[in-house]
Amino acid sequence: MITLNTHVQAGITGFENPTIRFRKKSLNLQTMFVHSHSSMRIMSADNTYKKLGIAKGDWLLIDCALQPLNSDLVVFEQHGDNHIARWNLLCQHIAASGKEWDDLHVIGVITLSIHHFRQPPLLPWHHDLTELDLHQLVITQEHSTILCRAAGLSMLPYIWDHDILVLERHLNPENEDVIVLSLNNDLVVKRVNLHSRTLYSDNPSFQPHPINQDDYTRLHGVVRYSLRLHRPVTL
Amino acid sequence: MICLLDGTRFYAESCITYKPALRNTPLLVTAGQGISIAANRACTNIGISKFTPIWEEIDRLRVHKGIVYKANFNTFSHHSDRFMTALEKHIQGARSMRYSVDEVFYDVSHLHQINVDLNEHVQALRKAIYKETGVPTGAGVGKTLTLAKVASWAAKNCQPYQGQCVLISEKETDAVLKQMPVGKLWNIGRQLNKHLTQEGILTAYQLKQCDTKTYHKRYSINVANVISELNGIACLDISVEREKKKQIWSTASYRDRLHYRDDLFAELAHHCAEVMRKIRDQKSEMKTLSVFVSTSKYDRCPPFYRRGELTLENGLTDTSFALQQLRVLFDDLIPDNLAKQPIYKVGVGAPSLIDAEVKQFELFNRFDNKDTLNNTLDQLSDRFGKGVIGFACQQRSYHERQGEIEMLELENYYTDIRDIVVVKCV
Repeated sequence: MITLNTHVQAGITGFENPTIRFRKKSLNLQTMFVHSHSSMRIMSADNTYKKLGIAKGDWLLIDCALQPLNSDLVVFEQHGDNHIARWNLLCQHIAASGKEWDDLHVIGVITLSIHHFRQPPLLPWHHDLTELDLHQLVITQEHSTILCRAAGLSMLPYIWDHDILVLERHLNPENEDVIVLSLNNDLVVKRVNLHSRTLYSDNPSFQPHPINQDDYTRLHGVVRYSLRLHRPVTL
Repeated sequence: MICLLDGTRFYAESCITYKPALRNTPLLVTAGQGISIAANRACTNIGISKFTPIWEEIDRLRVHKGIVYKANFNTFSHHSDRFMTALEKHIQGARSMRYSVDEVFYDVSHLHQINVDLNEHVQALRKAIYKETGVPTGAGVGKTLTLAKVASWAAKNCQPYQGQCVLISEKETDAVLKQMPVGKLWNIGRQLNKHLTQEGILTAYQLKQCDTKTYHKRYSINVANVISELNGIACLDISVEREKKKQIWSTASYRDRLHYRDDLFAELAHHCAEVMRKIRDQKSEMKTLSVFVSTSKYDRCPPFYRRGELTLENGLTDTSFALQQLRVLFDDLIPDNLAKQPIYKVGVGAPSLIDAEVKQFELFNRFDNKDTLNNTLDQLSDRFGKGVIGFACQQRSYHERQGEIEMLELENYYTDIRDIVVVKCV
């Protein structure tokens, strides 16, 4: 005799995830830093201004509708070239030289600058930020990207104290990359030389650190972008 | 073939991903001043395990310079979501299911069929997840869901597996089952374990030899299913949708007791609103509203326990109406003198529910569940956070007194710009 056993398919119930009800919205660069879509846009810096912590090619988030304050950085156009200056110094300079304001056109106030540690993607052409999303531009893989805050001066001139670093865990470090790692008891940001297995800083007054066997290290990822806020925003 | 991937000591590890200085420090995670919910390896090594009363262990923890973290479910939730998203990205559309906060099942049959080495595959996946999200994971692979769970247990508890275990051959599976106590099996709870042990079934292997029909009759279909699953016959499936809950409860105990009428009502109202929200979420309707309050058996006051129930004429989903009914029940529920009999434990629940999606409509039923109002409230609290809006009587004023146990706060890394990970430039 053949007996046929029929088996019941059943769904599984388990622990519900207890944390879902506590989950809040993730940070979003667009909602944090872009307060006015239609008057803001991103442009690339034409020159390097080391003292201002801005390198050639850095992305500048500018707002054309803001009235510049004394301490603001502004982008202005003169004789077909774009320049960056602090507003109070620019005013002084104009007053002292006796030049006319006519051949100088203020494009906007820099609210945020984004420095690149790797060759950036091409900045898409856009009129204003109704056409471009800052968050999507900078963050390519949400689940493995985390924002960090820098504390200290070892990575000057381009990482200042309190700058925001975009840490991308999915990237593999290449030579001379800026990386975030656990080094013994500290979470640090360094440049790495893969050939000599040395960690070093951009600021020459900090000593390089060759990794030896006793060091505890854990790599967290690569930093491609660092962000600096030039105008405080209300959160 | 099913793989179960789970976060290794998920809550404890989540606290220290970006804190290398604490990597060897014993650490407990707790939600309040009560029972710990997680412990890291350093903590287990000094003999303190999770799910123990924290006040009993705190002295020993202090001796070893250990620390206690308060659970931050917001950050845990993002951490969990990130590692599961990473997993889902890497398995490229294979069937998967997020089973709990730190466990994901997914189907590896298609890989097994084309002779992919599952050990290598799982190893590579675990590495990628660790790299991309910082979450260490363990894995178990078996023919069925239950066997995947068995493998996952073996990965942690048996030699020579180190964090992952792939059970393909019958021989290897049996070797593991012989080492596994029957009570550690999935779906074998404490009571069943007791019965089976009395019968002389001590290991999972012994249970595997049993006859499904006999055990179906003797216990339940669930035990029969476990036996089938141990034999490699799949009964449970991850694609079948979860059944709706048949009861919903929201309860809490209050360490510092509830001494005032208004405080007590506010807490009941809060639990009532929670229950109604859950009922709406799973598209059910409430037929009975049930409430209980009770004193603690450790208090010296005369014991007090009372439960009130109200059968509703219509299926209810409206929070405001439920709160009105709660007010009706309330006076009969409280002791005469709350100061003398402070309340320790309260709960609001719906012991009988009906399915709102397949219900019979009545011709003369004019009852209004105020769907628009309740949906708006739900959407607002989803968007702006739990507790941003509610009815006035939900205004809670109970606060736990500062406990003696110092707790560290885990930062809101993913949601608050003032709390993001700090990296040193030194």
